[in-house]
Amino acid sequence: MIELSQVTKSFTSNVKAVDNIDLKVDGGEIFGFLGPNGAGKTTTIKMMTGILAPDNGSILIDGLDITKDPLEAKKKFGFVPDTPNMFLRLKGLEYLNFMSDIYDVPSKERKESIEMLSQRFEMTKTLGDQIQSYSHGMRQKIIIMGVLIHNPSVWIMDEPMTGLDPRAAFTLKEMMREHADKGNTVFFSTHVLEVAEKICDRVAVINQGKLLFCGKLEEMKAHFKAQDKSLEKIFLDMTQHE
Amino acid sequence: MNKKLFILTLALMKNGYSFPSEKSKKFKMILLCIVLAVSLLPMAYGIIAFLRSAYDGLATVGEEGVLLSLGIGVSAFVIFFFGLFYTMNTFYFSDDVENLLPLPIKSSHILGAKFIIVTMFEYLTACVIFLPIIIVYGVKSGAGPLYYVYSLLIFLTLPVIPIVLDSVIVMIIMRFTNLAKNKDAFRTISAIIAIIFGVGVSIMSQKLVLKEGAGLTQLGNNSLVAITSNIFPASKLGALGLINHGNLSGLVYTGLFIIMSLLGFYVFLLLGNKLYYKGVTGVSVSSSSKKQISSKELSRKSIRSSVMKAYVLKELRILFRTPAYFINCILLNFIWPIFLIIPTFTQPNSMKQIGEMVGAMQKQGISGMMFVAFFLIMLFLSSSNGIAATSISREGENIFFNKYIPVSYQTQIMAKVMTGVIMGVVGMLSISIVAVIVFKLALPLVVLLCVTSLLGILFANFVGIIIDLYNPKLHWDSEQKAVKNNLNLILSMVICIAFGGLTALAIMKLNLNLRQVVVSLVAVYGLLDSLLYLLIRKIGSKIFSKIEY
Repeated sequence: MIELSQVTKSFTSNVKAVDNIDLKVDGGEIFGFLGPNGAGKTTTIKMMTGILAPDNGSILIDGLDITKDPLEAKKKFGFVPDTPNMFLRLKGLEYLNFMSDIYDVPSKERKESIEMLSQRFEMTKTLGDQIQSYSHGMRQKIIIMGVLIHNPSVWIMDEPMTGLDPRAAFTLKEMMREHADKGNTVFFSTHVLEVAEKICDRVAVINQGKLLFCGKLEEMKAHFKAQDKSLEKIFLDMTQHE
Repeated sequence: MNKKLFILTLALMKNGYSFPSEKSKKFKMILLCIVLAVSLLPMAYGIIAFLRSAYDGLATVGEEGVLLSLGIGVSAFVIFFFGLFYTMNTFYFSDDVENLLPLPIKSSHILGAKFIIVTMFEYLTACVIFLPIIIVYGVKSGAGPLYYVYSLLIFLTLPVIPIVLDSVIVMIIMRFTNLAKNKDAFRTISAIIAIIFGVGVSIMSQKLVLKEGAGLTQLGNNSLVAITSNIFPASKLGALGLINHGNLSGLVYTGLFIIMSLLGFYVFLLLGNKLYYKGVTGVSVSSSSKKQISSKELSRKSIRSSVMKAYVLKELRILFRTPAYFINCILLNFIWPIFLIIPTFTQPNSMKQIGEMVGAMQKQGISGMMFVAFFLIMLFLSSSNGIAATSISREGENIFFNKYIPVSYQTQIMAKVMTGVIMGVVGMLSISIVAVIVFKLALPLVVLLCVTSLLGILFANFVGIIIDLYNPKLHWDSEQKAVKNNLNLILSMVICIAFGGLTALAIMKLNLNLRQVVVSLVAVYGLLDSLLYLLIRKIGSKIFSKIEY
């Protein structure tokens, strides 16, 4: 579960990058976070994960406050950042083991996780190579694997589909569904509206730091009286007038 | 010049040396250059004054020509040394290579253009060393215009032969080893080779100078020119050309110098046509083994370890595998022992004397000063490797990772300190081994030295991390910039040197014996370390949490 209440962040005195956002994502759902470039998506995610401190408001991850109890809260989620260019000089397996140690995963469990994840993402033959020899999509895959290795209840992903080939993207979507169906929380940002339309239980639209809408897709269509319109059309209409 | 070659050179130049197009920026840049030039004036004045007196001194024994041959020889050597890295990067590792390969251009054109670019860059190097010498010699000897014409010709052709040598070495390495498939390994290994080569040449020239000193009685008539030119054989021709500018032989020597350079360039193009394409294709592909890891191997490698151990291991792996970090932070720890070992082979006599002296001192009970000296060397080594002082800076734009993992900032800071301490200890042990073998230091004494010096190593790393925490340099586009142009490293070195100086001064003034020295070092640095540790505990996490990219 993720709970944001009255979260605000500004980088300059007069512009609020995130403006008084309230958001609640329950267990068991896949939640899509939509918005144009520079809307405040990444800033929100950075505050949720403890990378940035909010100016105002509180953020709870599975009931733990990220600013008051950061270490315990950080153990609850796994985070996929928007760029996968990290730890390029480590080998894939070294990276996975490093992440396992950071999240305190026992030897037996991590071995099983590594085997399972590398098979599902078709990475079994590349774990012995340095990450810098990987393609963009492979880097994205290894980062996702490193995040999932400690089996966190909450997944927070910033543009996780970028660079993935169709098969890997399918696998990830499949895994997101499985994870949510077990009562866990999946929160991700995306530009790709088709993805949101297909797999999200609920979505939120953010623009210029403000939350424009939060709810089910059908509710959005009803809300904007646009039964026949595609999500793309609604999205374009919604963000254009700002 | 061939038209295509000209266009290509121009394009590569514009791409490589971007001069700002905006007027205000242009102005700023020019201003900066002027300020830099003005601040260098006193140094230039000093160099010229030195050269003038050197000329006078040499002229009394009729050897003023040495100035020219040394000038050409040293310029050639410096160009060669820097050129090794520069040709490597320009020929093989610059980003434009990938864009040029698909174009219908002859490899000799690419090579030629790149060669010209390296040469242009090296004119700057030649300017700094060669120009003052030419002017001083010209003015002092009252040389005519022909001397300056020859000088200009030699100046223009001077970088050619050293760069040809560089290119040939690099092209052969690239063509006949598969190192190039691993860019990192190639860079690291060639840097090591270059350093060894540099050290080797400096020792050789040392020996040369010593020999010359022995033969001072047979001086006269510029006979030394031949000896000093041994560094780069062709430089002899250039020097003789300039010395004899008044008669026909000067023209012949200068002509020969130019012909040799042109010949070198031709050989370079010939070899380049054969070697370059085969070496350069495939450089951009990083190596990957694509080997499946067996279940057994996976079990062996996937063993749980503590967060601290995992974090330190990660830091060390990145330090060892990133060429810029390896050269600046790791290699440095091993260079010191080499500096100690080499003289034992080249100057066995003086080393024997030092060994005897140390032995005698040990018998009398080693003086406190020697103990302090070892301590200070360790302090200096630990602060100069910059592992702690650049540890936050090295995270760069990925600093956000440190923020979202469930590892306390305190633990992360201590892991970074630990990494620096480990490398400091490795450096200390390698020096100790040399000290035991070469200087025959008693083992118990070395153990005592190491235990005490550990406090100095800790001190250097604490100082380093505190400085880097306060003002990390996170915005860089190449790893080199994270460690090399980082003021935090210099600041932490200055602080450590200041503390070391104060320590030495105090111990000298108080005239302590060995036991007193050990006790006071342990007490003072033990206290300093404890205070710094408490400071980090108190404010470290707070500062770390505020760091933003």
